[in-house]
Amino acid sequence: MAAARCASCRTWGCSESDGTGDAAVSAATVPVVGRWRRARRRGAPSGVLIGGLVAAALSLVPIVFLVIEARGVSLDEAQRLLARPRVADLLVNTIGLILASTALCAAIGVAAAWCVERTDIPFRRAWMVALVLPIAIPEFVSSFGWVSFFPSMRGFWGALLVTVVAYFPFVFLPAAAVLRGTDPALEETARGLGLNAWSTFWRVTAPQLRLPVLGGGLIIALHLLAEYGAFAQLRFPTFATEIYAQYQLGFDGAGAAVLALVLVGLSLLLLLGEVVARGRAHYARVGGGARRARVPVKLGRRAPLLLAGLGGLTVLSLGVPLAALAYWVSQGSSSTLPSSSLLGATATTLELSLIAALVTVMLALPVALLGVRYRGPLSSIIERSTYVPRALPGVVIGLALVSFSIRSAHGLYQTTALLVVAYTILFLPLALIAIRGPLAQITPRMEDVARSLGAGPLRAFGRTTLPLLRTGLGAGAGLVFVSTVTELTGTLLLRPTGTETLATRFWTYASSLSYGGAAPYAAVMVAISALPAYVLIRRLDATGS
Amino acid sequence: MSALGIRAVSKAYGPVSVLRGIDLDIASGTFAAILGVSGCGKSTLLRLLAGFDPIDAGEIEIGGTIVDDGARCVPPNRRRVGYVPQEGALFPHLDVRANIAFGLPRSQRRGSRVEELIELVGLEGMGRRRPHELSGGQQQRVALARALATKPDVVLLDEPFSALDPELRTSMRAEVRDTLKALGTTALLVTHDQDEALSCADVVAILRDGAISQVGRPRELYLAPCDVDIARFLGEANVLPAVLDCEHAQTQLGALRLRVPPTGATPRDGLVVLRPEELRIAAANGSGSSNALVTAVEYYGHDARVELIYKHPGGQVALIARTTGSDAPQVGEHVVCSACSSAHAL
Repeated sequence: MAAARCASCRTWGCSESDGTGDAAVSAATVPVVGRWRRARRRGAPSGVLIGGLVAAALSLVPIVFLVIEARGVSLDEAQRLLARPRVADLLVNTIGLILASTALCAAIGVAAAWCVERTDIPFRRAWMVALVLPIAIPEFVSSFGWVSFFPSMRGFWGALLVTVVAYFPFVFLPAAAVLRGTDPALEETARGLGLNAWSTFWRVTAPQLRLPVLGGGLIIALHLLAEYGAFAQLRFPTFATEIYAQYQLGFDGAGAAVLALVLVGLSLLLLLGEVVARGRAHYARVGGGARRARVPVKLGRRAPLLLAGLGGLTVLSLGVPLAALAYWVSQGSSSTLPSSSLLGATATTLELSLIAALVTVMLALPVALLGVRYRGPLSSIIERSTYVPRALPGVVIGLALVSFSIRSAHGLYQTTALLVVAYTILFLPLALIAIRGPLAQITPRMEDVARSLGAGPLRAFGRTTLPLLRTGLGAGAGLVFVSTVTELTGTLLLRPTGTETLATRFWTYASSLSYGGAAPYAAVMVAISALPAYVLIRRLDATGS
Repeated sequence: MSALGIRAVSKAYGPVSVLRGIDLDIASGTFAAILGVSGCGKSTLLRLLAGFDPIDAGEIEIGGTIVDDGARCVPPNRRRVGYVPQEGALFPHLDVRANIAFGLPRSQRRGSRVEELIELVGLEGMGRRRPHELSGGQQQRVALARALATKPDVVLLDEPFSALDPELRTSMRAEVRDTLKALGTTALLVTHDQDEALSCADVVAILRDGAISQVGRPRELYLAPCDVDIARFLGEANVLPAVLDCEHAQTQLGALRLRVPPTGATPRDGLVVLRPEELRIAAANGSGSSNALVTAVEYYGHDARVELIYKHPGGQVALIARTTGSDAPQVGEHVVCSACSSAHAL
């Protein structure tokens, strides 16, 4: 190989360095290949962009129609509506419960996580399962359990008890993950600097728990704002129950919309508050090196005390609701046997949930792609729009879609399609969270390589990114599926006449105090929801092991 | 005949101009390297050649076909270009065999071609392994085989060895070069590592601030760099002021022969470059005969790097010299230093 520059064609490495002048390569003599593409700037493919725009538009529909609906109320009327003492009561109830329940959940969740992760408590793994499982029981099912056993359990204290035992796993799970994941050397260093165990916890461990506690607390507070079924059963009026009642009583869409706007305002405040409280917190492990195993705290004589505490918590969160279900199922089977309608409702629920899961994931994928791969002003507008429904409880989305279908799309009113749209809007943020992380870990270089190996853009995506994203897509679809199975409020408002899901059947029976009739439906819902709880436990097992 | 032609290629991302008028022609069968510091635009150039991004202006020709003329471009899947990215980027969901077969038409994916390629890169018996079960070097071999499977006109290598440990890097370089040479494939390697570019490429182009500042064979670049920056970039250099006449340079080290006589009017003021290994150090016979003082020695075993203060009638100058390990002087020793080779005038 003569690596000198060819005199004739000015090519590096050309072996014909003594070639004639005619060999010069010029653009004119070079054939131009037939299949050209107009050179395109780097940007999202149009399919992805359209998918993202559809998702964003859907996500903004509820808030837009809520505002349109509320504009039907004159200013005086709105003042009269909002200045009622009833509204003040609702505000006190809602905010009071959020503060008390979230604080108790945080304390109980962290304490339970510490017991399980940091001490030599017996039956560690069994406790972990027991402390995560309450997530599988929908709130309106656990309140059903309590109310059916203790009919006098009503009002604030009842609501507090039921919500705390139902929601503390939202703090327990992330707190346990953090307690397991942090480097023991941090706490050992603090002890080495002369701190005792208690101040080590407050000055080293607690700051690391801030993020999981805030994140879990936010989820709990948003749930508390959105929950309708449980509070209706406990006769504890909050904004969500009042909006639903207002709508049911007089089909007073405008009045309900004004109240709904207050509820949306509260949710936005919560979301904003969490962002502010989180600040720039970021706890990274500095430096490399392998982590050493942690020496668990020896409980000794304190063990029975903690065992009793965890046992009591489990009885309250799992024992009572499950015992109630078992009791009423056995009672119900002797009196009313709704086996055919149970099968029918199960089939309808599974079908709706499956469709909702597929549609939601299909819309979440382009939004995630825009957010991760094609950053830009339009992408971030689209991505942020899809997070707006996080602040919209099911009752509000249901109401807004009723208004939308009556005003703008009459053909859609009380159709399965509209119900699926509602589920999609409601659970799009959930699917996004599940897909975004795994997508960010797949380098776009894979697709580059696939392109250079001859695959077109769609094939390159289908053969590299899509198979790698399977787990994320599956997790997203699973979350949406289970959330749809247990969705009550939106379904009640939007379902086509005659469509009965497990949740609506359960609700019909439970509202007429037919506990035996309601229990089988609840049992099936709990059985389906246990699946993601199992996945969560497996994931916790995977961290830090 | 050039396998790869780059003519006046420019590229900007927004207001940031990354490449400004790149010209380079690579003959068929040549192993070429583009050498530049990080951020000089070399990976961008590779992405333009592969077709992942369109160029703003200029022309790219691959295998006798224009694939981008600044207005329209051929998509990457129709360019017949093999691409070996940093750290391999193997498809983690596919085994070695499926990775290599990725670009082949469906009918050939089970055929003998895949076995041939596995053998070519020396991974016999590993066809069923997943990427995470391979070492870094093995992953790079799979990435190379995958790029070669479709018999591309040009193979582009984007710092493919930078993630490997030094010893493996050296052997992988030789291995990849030999494989590509045996197949007669044209290759373009992008790297920031001078040793890598000089040791394995037939032709090296130096990319600086979005433009090519010098192209040539490795020894031409090392011994006859265009300017001080290139001289220093390719290795340590003693740069001395000089008066250049027809064949000699008058320097602080005395009169040195020039490798290439300077063009233009002579005599004139200029600079000469002397590589550290072009200086010879000898023990002084007596204190009167020494002309340099050793100020620092870095001993590497096979050789040693020596810093000296050289005294000449007009004053003194700091020099760097390289000696064999056995001849390394002591710090504080008085030695005799002289040029043992002709110099290069800038």
